[in-house]
Amino acid sequence: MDLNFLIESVSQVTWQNVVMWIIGGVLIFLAIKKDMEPALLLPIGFGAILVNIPLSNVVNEIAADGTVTAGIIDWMFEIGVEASEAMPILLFIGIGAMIDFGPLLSNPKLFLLGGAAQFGIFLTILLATMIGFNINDAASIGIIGAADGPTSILVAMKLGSQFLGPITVVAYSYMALVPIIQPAVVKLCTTKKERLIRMDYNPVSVSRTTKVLFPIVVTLIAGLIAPKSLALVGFLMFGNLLRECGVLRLLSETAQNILANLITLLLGITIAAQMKAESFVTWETAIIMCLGLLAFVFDTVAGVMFAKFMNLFSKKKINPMIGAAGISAFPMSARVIQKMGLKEDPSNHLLMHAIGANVSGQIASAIVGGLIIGLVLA
Amino acid sequence: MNMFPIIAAVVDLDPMNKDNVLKSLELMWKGVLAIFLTIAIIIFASWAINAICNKARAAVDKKKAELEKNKPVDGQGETK
Repeated sequence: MDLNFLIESVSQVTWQNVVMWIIGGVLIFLAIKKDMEPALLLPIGFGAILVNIPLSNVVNEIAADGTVTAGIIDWMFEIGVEASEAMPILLFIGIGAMIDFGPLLSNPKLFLLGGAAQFGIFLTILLATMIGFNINDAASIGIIGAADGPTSILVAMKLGSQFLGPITVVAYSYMALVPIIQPAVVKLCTTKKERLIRMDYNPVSVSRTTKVLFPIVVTLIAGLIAPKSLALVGFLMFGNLLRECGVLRLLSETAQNILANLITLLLGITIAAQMKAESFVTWETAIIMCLGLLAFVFDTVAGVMFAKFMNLFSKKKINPMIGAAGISAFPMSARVIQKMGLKEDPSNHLLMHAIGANVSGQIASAIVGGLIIGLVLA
Repeated sequence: MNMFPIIAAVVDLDPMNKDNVLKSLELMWKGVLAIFLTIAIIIFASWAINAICNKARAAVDKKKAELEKNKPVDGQGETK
């Protein structure tokens, strides 16, 4: 009796497959034990194991005669990400519905910090091209610094980067590491005296009409200047309009909870389609991990430095730590800054200012993503 | 472990390619300029919307206050 079929899969396991199982296991460990972005890292980790089992039918199977049998994960990737970028874009509706732009609207100059904190993206792109990546791959790697998973996926897809898998995993993993990366960098860039700067929160009243008009106006401005950012900015603002209009409470709640959760769940496991050992266990992946970390660091430094620069001209001093919240890891980055502020002075509450910078980073990163797509493909 | 595949992979990259570096520098200045320009316009628009809405609200509140002031008391017609 021929029982070879029982070991057919085992005999095809490579060391790269084993590495991917370990990576998958580490991601699941970080999600469960360390509570690091569990909604993303757990599906990605499990998917990494799933697609790296030889002869697995969750990925496309190519028969000896060349016939392709579609696998569910590859199919979801082709339909949900590759063909239309639907998943990352739809996720932006949920994100938009979660964001309250009130703190930003009551102090619009915080917008500048969101813009400044994108500088690291461009610095990383420069570094990546110096290392030897072509401009499309370099731009896709640089956008990791946006700390914005859907934008990273969209840019990498639109620019046809061959490193979509590593870029996505690195983007989401480092987002989870914001509480570790940012405090160290912020401390290095600021003095104790600067970290103690107090910022009183006296918000200017923001009317409902302003909150309703804001997403429409931002969509128009971003669309006219950076039309390639509209897929992201437009859907982000659509989600926000659902929230602020006041007449679509159920839709807003659905976008914030059900839609966002459903897309996150599917996106995580779908991205695993790009984590096949043969394309993931490469030297380039290691380089991308280093560059991704640098992108986060550069963005944080740029935000802090710009806040210091603003202090040169401003009567009311800004605590430079707020600048670090200009990256779009929302609301994690703002919480990190709040904690740091309280650690330095237990009565200095920076949360609302940090939230303002943080949501501006969300808009700025989506616009920068669109700008990069437009400029690279021009 | 054979290091050659790893080294070969690194060599596959094209370090300090002048064209790529120049393109990224161009991307940098254009990108930074565009993002700050966009943000400057958004800041101005936010400030303008807020100012107009607050002014309109203040006008409505003032009108309401005036109406309240001129409201008939105890059904005896206009207040004196």
